[in-house]
Amino acid sequence: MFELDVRSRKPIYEQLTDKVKEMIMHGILRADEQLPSVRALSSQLTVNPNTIQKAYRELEREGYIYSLQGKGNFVAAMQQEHNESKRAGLKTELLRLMAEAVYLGFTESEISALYRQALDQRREGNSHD
Amino acid sequence: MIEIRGVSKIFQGDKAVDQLSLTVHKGAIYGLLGSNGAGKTTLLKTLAGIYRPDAGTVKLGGQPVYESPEVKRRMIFMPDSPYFFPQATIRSMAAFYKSIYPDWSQKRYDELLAMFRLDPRRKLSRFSKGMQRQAALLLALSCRPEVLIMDEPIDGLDPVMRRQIKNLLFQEVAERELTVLISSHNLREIEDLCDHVGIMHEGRMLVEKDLDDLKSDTHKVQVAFRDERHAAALESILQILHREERGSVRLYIVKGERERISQAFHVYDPYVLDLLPLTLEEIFIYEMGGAGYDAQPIIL
Repeated sequence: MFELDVRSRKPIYEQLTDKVKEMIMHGILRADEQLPSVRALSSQLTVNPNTIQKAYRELEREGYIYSLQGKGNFVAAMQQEHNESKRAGLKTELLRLMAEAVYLGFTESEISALYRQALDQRREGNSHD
Repeated sequence: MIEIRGVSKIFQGDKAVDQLSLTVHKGAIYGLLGSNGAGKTTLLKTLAGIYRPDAGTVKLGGQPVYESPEVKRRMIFMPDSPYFFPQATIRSMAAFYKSIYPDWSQKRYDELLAMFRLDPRRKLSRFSKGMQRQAALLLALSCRPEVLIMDEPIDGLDPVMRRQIKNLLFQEVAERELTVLISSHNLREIEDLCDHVGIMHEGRMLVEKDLDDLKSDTHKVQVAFRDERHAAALESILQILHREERGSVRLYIVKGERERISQAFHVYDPYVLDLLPLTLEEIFIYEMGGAGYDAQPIIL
């Protein structure tokens, strides 16, 4: 279910946490859905189980997933708070990109078309699984 | 699980290992890196109880290793070139290991034999180098050790076998918390395999850390400033390990948190700013450079 780029400079555990977050945000992973076990994922991806454990711990600390003793890891219901800090960061990032887009001559309608496209993608992601 | 405290080993006045300390937790995969002649093999042999340390202590699960058969039963040392008895086959070696290691698992042996597709009746001396390595690993894992020490284990294995063996080790780590200590020069392999690394040079440990922490602690920054003066201002506030100038683009190796570095650079709003994590190879080279061991641009 995950594809990792072992040649990338980005640490594996960061790739893993980013991937899971992305899948949660796009609605591919739903609340209370079980994540693959450390063991299964380790042999599937040929990744050190300690690295996967670490990624899961980090995701749990950030509130994206929760673990049940002896049962495994599950997707947490989206919470407004961790969205807030995320939003603030995203805003600055968007502003930076937007400045670049303005510089390159993007029009307002082109940018709003992109917004609609992202919206459609998310809807599709939700209707699929 | 493994505790090495202040260990020295001296050969004819030369300190091969010098006051070295190292800790490996249970279930970790630890990669030992180092320059040629840094003392890696000496350290591993001391850990395996083959050498007696001249100073310091080597303990496994709280027990000293040297001349302690009970402790040695819980670990396996795989030397850089596999050793088998003359005329031995996998089957005869298996019988030998079985007589020494009480936790020997016949079931595991049969499973692994099927996986590696090696003929247990063929003489080991007739196997290729890579097949001998596979045989050595097969025998080692069948002993169900708590600690597996491997000196340069990846040499001579094809990519499929490497992946297979990696998976096998990961499985043992996930299922029964096998502790693995590996020495190697192949940094790419170590990067994929290990969660902790230590870098040795001239008998000492230069760095010892969680691999991901090590990688997220050092960054490569490519930057083109709007004004040359910005460079000097930044260089004074950041911990810079290495700098290079390529025209108007500067390359820095900076120690510190990604966020902090990124912010420091963004203040000056440079034309170009690229922040990349380092590869293990780059970390190795810069750390070694810091210790006065760097590649000289030599033309002979």
